[in-house]
Formats: sequence, C-alpha cells, structure tokens
Amino acid sequence: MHKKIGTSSIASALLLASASCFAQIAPATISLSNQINSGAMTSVMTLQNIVVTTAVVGSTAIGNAIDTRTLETAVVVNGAQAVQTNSGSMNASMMISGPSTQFNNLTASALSAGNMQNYTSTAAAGTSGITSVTSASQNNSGAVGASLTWSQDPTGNAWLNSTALGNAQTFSFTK
Amino acid sequence: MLGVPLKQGTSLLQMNTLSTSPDMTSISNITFNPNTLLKSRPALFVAALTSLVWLTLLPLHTSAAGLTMEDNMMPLMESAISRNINISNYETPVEFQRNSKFNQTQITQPGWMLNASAIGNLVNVQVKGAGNTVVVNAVQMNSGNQMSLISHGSNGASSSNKSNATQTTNTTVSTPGASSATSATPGTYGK
Repeated sequence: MHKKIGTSSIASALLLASASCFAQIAPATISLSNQINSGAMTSVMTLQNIVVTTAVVGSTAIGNAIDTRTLETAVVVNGAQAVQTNSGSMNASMMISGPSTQFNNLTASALSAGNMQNYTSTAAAGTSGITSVTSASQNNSGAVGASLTWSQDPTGNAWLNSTALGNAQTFSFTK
Repeated sequence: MLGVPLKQGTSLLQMNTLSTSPDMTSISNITFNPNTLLKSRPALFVAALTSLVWLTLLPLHTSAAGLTMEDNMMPLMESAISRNINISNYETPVEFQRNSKFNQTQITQPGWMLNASAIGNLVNVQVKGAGNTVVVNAVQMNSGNQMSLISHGSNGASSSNKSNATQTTNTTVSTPGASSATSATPGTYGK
C-alpha cells in the first residue's frame, strides 16, 4: 500500500465506550446519569508506506466521558453529579512504519483514558460570586495504555505525544 | 563555479574557496615577460599586475582565522547563510541581510518534541475573571495501571535530528495504581 497525500492530512481513530452529555442550561443544575464501562477498548492506527507533507494524526480510546457546558446566570451553581466507573482496559496505539514512509511535518498523539470529564462554565459578563460544583465521582480499575511507535524518522518537525489517564477532570470557569 | 547553488550548511570558508580556486588555477598557467609587456602595452601591464596582486592576497585573506561577519567580505558571507543563492547573483548587488545596527535574526525549525505522560488521577481547574470563589468537590479512585510509551522501532537513517531523537525516545512512563487511591480535591480558588 502506498499513498500520497497532498499538503495536509488529518486522521483520527476514536473509540468511546459511553459519553454524556452536552448541556446548556441557565441557571445550571445538571444531573447526569452514571456511567459504567467494563469492556476493553482498543484503538489502533497504523500508517505504513505513506508520503505526507503535513499530517495530524491521533488515536484515542476513552472508557467514559462527560462533557458539560453551562451558561450561568445564578451566583451559586450546583453542577454536574455523576459516577463514572471503568474496569475495562483501554489501549490506544499508533504505529508509523514502512520503508517508504515520509512525513515532513508530523503531529501525532495517542490518548487513552479510563474516565474523563470536562466542565466548562461561562457566566454573564460582569457577574461574580461563588460557584460550587460536585463533580463526577470517578473510579477506574482497568489498565490504561497509550503507545506511539515509529520505525521511520519524520523529516522536518515532529510533535509526538502519548498520554495515559486513569481519571481526569478538567474545569474551566469564566465570569 | 558560477551558477553553482550553495548548499545549506556550507561553511563560509569553503564557499570562498570554491569561488576563487578556478581563477587561481587559470592565473597560475599564465606566463609573460614583464619588461616586454611594460614597454609594448603599459596599460595592460598595470591591469595584469593589479589582478595578480589581488588574487595573491585573496586566499590569505579568506584563510585568516577568526573571520567575522563584520569583515569587509561581509556581503559575500552573508549570502552564504541564505538558501538558494547562486554565486551568479553577484552580477547584481547582494541584498544586505542585517539592519543598520548589524543585528540579524534567524528563525530555525523547532525540531522534535516528544512527550509521554501517565497520570492516575487528574483534576484541573481554571478560573478566569475577578472576585470568584470556586469550590470543586471531586472524588477519584484509581486502582489500574497507566502506561504511556513513545519508542523508536528501528535504527533509522542518520539525520541531524537523530542525536536528539535517540536521547529522548524510548521513553516509558508508568504509574501503577494503588490498591485504592483516592484523590478528593475540595478547594477554594479565586481571583
């Protein structure tokens, strides 16, 4: 197999066991269902004998994911409450190989996570106060692995990132 | 040598040698009688003598140690840094690449950046604005193993980035989870 791609290429492999939810409520009071994942997740991306000038590639495996976004008007907000339980093994891998593989600029990432929650809250301009959030309870007992291997050196720039997360919660508040 | 493109990375001294050595060869093959030439064609004698002196001193000048950009050969050397410039460009004035204060900025490629991370429990809170208090009650339990791997799988071809790559590749970060690791982060954040 020999592929030649023009100037830019974006490729991704994503496996997601369960995801909920995207909410936009004002004032924000969000109830989320619990998430339980016990299956094994494997995301694999293999690039072999490929010629690319600029490429952004990624392989991602996530057991449970919550993404909430709120637009608040109340001063005090009780946010997301959920339980995330993952006992399966997550594995995201990316392999770059082949004798004729050429990357002039490569951004590659492998991300694997058992439980993940993103909470973004944006209030109206000029407001301030107290924000209280009870976040998702996360419980991970599975193995999480992310690997990125290559046999051909990319030429030019290369950004290679491999990340394995058991439980991850990110919060962003803007008022 | 006219019209030969310069390769990036060619040293300044080598470039000057390339541009002058053919002329030196041609001059060394010339034989003439100075007395005869002075009497018959004095103008040609002066021109030949001037060329001979100049080409004799030029190799000594270019081989001098500590050759700097501020030397009087600066336009020639400045062009050696640039890409895709032919020596034939000297038919026209060389564009000067430094400012009036002799400063020059060169932007190079960032090269390779590798990152491998394995995290058991992670809580990240960002607050923007003013006068806010944010309380996050987070409970995280992790008993699994986390493994992150970035590895180079073959010998590969040698390149300028190779040394950096071998130093930072084959990086394995492993975070074995505890039997019951709990991270509770009730916190207060404000600006």
